[in-house]
Amino acid sequence: MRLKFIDFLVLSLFTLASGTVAAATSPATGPEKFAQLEYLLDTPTETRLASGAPGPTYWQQRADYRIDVTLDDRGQRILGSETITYYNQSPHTLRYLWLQLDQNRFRPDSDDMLSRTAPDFAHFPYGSLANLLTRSEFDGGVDIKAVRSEGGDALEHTINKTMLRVELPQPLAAGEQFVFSVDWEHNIIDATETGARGGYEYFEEDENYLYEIAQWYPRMAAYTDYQGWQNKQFLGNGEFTLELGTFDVAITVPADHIVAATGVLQNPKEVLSKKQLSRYEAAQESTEQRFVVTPEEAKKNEGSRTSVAKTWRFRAENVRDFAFASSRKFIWDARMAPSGSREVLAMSFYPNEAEPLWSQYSTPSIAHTIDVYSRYTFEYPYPTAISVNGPVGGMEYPMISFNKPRPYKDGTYWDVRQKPEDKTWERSKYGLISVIIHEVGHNYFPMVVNSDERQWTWMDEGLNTFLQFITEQAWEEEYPSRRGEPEKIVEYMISAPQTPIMTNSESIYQFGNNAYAKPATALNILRESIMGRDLFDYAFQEYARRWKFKRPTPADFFRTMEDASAVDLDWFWRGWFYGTEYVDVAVDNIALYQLDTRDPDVEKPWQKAEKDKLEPTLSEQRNADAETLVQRYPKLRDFYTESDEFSVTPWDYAQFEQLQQSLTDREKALLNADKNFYTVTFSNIGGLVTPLPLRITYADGKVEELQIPAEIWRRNAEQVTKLFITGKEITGIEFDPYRSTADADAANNAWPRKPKTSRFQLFKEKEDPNPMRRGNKEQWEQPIL
Amino acid sequence: MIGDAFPPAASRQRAGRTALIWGLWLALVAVPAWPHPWHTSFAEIDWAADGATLEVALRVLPEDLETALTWRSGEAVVLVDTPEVRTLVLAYLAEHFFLRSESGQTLHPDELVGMDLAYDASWLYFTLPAPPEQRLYLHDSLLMDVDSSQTNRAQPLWAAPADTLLFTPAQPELLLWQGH
Repeated sequence: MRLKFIDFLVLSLFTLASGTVAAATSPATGPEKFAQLEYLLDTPTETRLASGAPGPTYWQQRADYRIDVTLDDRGQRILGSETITYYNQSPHTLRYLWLQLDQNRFRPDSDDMLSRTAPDFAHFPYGSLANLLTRSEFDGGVDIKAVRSEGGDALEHTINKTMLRVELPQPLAAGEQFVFSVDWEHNIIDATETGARGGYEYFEEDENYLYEIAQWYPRMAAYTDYQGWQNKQFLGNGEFTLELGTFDVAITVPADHIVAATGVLQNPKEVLSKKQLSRYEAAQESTEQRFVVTPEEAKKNEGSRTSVAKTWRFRAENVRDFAFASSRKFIWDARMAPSGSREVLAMSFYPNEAEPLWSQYSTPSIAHTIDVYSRYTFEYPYPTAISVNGPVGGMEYPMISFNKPRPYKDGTYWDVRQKPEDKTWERSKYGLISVIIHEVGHNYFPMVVNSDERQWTWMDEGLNTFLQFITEQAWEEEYPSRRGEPEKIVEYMISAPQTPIMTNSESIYQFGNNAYAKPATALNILRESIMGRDLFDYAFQEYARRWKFKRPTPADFFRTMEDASAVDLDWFWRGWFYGTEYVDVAVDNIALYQLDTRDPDVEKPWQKAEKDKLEPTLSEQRNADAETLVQRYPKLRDFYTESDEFSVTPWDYAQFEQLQQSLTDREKALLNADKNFYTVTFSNIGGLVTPLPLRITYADGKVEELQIPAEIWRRNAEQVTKLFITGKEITGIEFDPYRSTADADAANNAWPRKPKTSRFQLFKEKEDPNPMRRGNKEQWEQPIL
Repeated sequence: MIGDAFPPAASRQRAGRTALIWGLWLALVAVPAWPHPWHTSFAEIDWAADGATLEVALRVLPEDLETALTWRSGEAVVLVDTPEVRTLVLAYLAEHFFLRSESGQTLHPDELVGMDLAYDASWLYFTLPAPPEQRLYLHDSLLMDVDSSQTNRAQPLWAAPADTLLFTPAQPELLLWQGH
């Protein structure tokens, strides 16, 4: 289209290379999507500031524990006694205390069991039959033997499923502390059959047990400024909300067991052999990994059966929980690992069944994790970091984590046995590295940045999965991360039903995608496409620094990210964390406007050229050879028969001259600018607003990339038209060329449209399809039986 | 419209065993969800050029499929691209990924065209015979025998992205195709 001069004057108001053309009527969706969060966030106080930082009146409770626990290796049972010193650092007086009895989740009448809905019995999981039988026979739940005051008097208490309320003899005023003790016992669950967060694994071949013990002692529930007591029942998904404190724990086990635990071993000379002690001390002086217990020694130890017990003593400061592992099957390796200016004792404990994978990858994965995480948050604050192999798939505790992947029984694992040219899924190696990164990474979120897991799973899992992705990508090129890249979240984003990320942990639908993958992807998009790495990394690190050893809420995170970056992200939190819409932007319509210069020497030839571009109609083509009446009778010809509508006349020049005299020099210059005006219409089909990363291709082959901020949608979030002014002809525009926005439908992302090939079709078109390899046995590997 | 539950499936019950099964299920649900769950699959489905076959590209977690094949075969199975494993995979698909036509016919995958096996995303490519003139219901209970929290999504490529089907243990069968 050729613009008239009056059109040009309007367009010339745009002083940049491009501008936005507003729709005639703007639906209200834009302002709604860009509305400030305001009422969705907690009102700022002097405890939690509007900036997202802890305020001058910030407080949190504290609980110190002294625990004596015996591991019954014959009956697979825990027998414990603890003394808790509870510090009321709140400004409130308390009349009772709440403790968590997580083992009661395994009682047959627990809310977790009773509140689940029925499955479709026509498709009953036959693979879960072993789980069923194990659970139906398991005598679960904690047996509280006594609750006593420091003076030994029995304390009134009430058990409400997974919570225990202790009545205080006297109200506990602000600033006071209360000391009391609890004795308890519970059976240890078979974690190989039930998938619990802790439990035992039995090795039939050598008749040994491996224990990973967690949620094993009555733990103080958190009392907070925003929630009061966090005493929501444990239903299985919402993990743990705990107070920080010091733990002194004495663990009595068979004397031939090796124990790994939260904290620092206090009595190595009493529990280790001289050889083990020497190696243990040497490991603390070196960044070179070495065995404290070798595979051969662990194998030999499997045959030991002692009736003697030993007590391992551990101390951990400023931790919110305590877990341990024990077995006579453990190999033990260790080395020092740097975290900023600090050095951390990184250790792995695993049976021979985990070899050779574990001695090669476990401790290096720990060291890599604390190195990378420290760069984005703070130096790892604890003295040890431990990875244990056992029946628990992946679970985190302060300084210690349980990680399940092992090689196959013949000792092989993926990425070793595969031929170099045969890229395949290397399950055990990357599975192990990823789970260790994730679980060790949890030391930062939520062990130190002590968020409320029972309420908000995403605050630790989402942030941790985000850093896990960064850490995986720093392991090696093309590390096969399963979460983090925007395109991997698309399938979830377009699925239904969904819940927003800001949903209570127990009510989340599609848990892993919602609380892990989506927030991790959102933060990756925020970092790479919206804030940029510098602004994001500074703000994210500020959040971690502000809330180190404190308990943040979502509002503290949202506010800090804005406070430290000067980027208004309310629209982003609203869309990604409070909503369930997805990104799908379509490049819908492109129009070209060119300037009518009114110069007849320019315009008339242009008009002729445009007309000449038109193909003759069918009638014109078929009449081409037919003689017309005028051809037969030339006398019928006149001025109009001969005139050329595209010839320039004196009148045309006069008109142009008149126009020139009316223009200022600036307007004349603009009129002579040889520019193309393209308007491109973008439709927001998915609803979730997004920046518009664009790639523009010109007729001369050159390519330009630019990003339009998400604020383009702030007035009309359904459709916007963008103006591009260029001296060159545009031959193509593509939205999201680097798949950075989680756009759901790439088929409508480009002009001209790019046909979308199905994955099935792409597979069939591969040069070396799998069916051809079937004829060549050299290309196979036989299954391991 | 896509997304309706398949009506006949709901009526298949054995009333005499309900009490026993319910008791077992109570025991099962005491099992916690895996601490860090990630039990999903995703299928792209489109009509083949012949108009009577559906082409499926199915993404699974390789370790979950391996577990399912191991349980099914009774011996340890490693997911590699061999004729033996292909036979197992096709048999497993026949049980857990099939069509039910309006006339009551069950249509199983007939050819495993290939597999792309990788840690972050493993894909299976197979075809299903499908009479286009009939309403077709897709049954997708893949890997629900491995984990009760498994959810499967399927994207018919003739529909908008938002019309992805979501299969759960409580609803493993949904209307896929309206029929001509």
